[in-house]
Amino acid sequence: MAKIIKPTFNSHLDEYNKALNKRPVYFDIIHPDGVTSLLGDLRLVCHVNPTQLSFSYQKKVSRSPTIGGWIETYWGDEPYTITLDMSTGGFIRVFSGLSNTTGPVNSLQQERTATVGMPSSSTYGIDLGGNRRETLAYDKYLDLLSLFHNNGSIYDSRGYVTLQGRIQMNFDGGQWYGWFQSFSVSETADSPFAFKLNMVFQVEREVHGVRTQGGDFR
Amino acid sequence: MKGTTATVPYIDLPMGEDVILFPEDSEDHFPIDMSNQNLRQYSPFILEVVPPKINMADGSQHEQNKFLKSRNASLPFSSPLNQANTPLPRSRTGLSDFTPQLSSLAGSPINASSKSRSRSNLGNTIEAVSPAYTDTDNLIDYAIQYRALDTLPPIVFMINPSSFDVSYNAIQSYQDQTRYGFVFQRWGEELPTISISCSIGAFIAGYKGDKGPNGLTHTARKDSASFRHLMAIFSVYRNSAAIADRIGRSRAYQAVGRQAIHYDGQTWEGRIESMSYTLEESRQNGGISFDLSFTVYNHKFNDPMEAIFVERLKNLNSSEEVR
Repeated sequence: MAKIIKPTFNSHLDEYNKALNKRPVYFDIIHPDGVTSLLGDLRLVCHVNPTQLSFSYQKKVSRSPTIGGWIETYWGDEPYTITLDMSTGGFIRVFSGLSNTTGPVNSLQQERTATVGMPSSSTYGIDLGGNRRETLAYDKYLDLLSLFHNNGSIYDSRGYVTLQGRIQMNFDGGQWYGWFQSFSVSETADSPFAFKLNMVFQVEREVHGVRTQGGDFR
Repeated sequence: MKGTTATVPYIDLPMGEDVILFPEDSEDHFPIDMSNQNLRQYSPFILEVVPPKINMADGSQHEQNKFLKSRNASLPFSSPLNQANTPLPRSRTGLSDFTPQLSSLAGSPINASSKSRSRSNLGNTIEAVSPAYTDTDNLIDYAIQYRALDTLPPIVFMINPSSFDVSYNAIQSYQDQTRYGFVFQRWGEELPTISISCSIGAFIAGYKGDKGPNGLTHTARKDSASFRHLMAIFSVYRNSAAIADRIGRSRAYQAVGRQAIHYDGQTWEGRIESMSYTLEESRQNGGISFDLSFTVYNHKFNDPMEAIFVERLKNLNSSEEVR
């Protein structure tokens, strides 16, 4: 399928291929040591880059009035967040093109014991032999959702968080370490064949290079 | 596949005494469904009621114990008085499975071995009921309500939602400040919530008589398929899969089940927390919107998504594949 419907990015290494001129947004899971990647060479590359990356910074300052004037107490910076608005990309399926077919579903009545008065079938809808879940875009959306659920945590066998790593977001040479705070997915009639995604990323620290050669001080 | 326009099984569900829905039928009126059946066939959106498990609390504990036993694991937090090999002291079969969890003001407790002490008029059914529980009337009403929920047909949405938003939120904190920075704490995730916005179709109904609402008109609201559909959803929301105390008329619910949404190869089990709809002048003839807010307790992907190859779609008009 990948050979027929090409994704925008081949891998996170596209960033370093100057001939491609691409800057994918991609994610990594970082060990609790704060440095080591838990994914090895693997990275979760967004199927399509976010439509919007919003950085909002806030100072942590308290001010109180006194008889003689104001006192300002400066605490530094508030923790800040990045808001990612993105789309899954179109659900383009081989043999059917853009697809919004979700396929049949089964009700839970088949699992219950009562029989009197039940509909004869617990299946609703027609199985066309394919649906929108068989698309790269949907697959990537599920990957991203899984990454949100993982959030850099290492769980024990009962599902409790035992160790906490980090998520690393990468874009254009910059790295943002932190954790996802929220994830919302929206399917709306005004943007069919794709989901809108919104993620809020709590930043612990960010590292990115800035060009320093040249410039003018006048 | 038709959308749900029947209202009978839904409006009969108990929904408290603040909301009273009653059948008000007219043989001369009939609903007209103008929606597209194919859209429902390809992407059905189903709302279903999941009745409470029989003795939900004990039952789930039993299931848990069974699971732990199968793993040879010790029971968590088990009391020395409650031996692991007999986690449930009572055996339950047949009608005695239908046991209210709460007592009510109705009648006195029954005692099957002494009929004279029972004030119930419901006769011999008492013999089928364990004497350990509350009065017969309540017990039978419980069974009736349970049966109604258990056999309630799922609601097939006539028109799929215009928006379906799932929201996940982490339970974590990055606010506590120390001399060397902020401390991150994480406990897991909140229950996901789903916001659903829908529209119903136009108010169209037929009338067999000489004078009466006919066709597309605001006076066809009650008779229209779309408003009947809305009332079916409203009834399921209002009932909320709860077994009410109809005999004692208290507001104590004896058991509460769940609702389930089936869509896109997935099932979300949970509860509709809120519902709103507006009748407005600008939409006199229907097409009104309504919103549901759903809290998810359990989310399942029913589609294994194991397909290695993407197949051609079936041709619905013949047995051959689409070319």
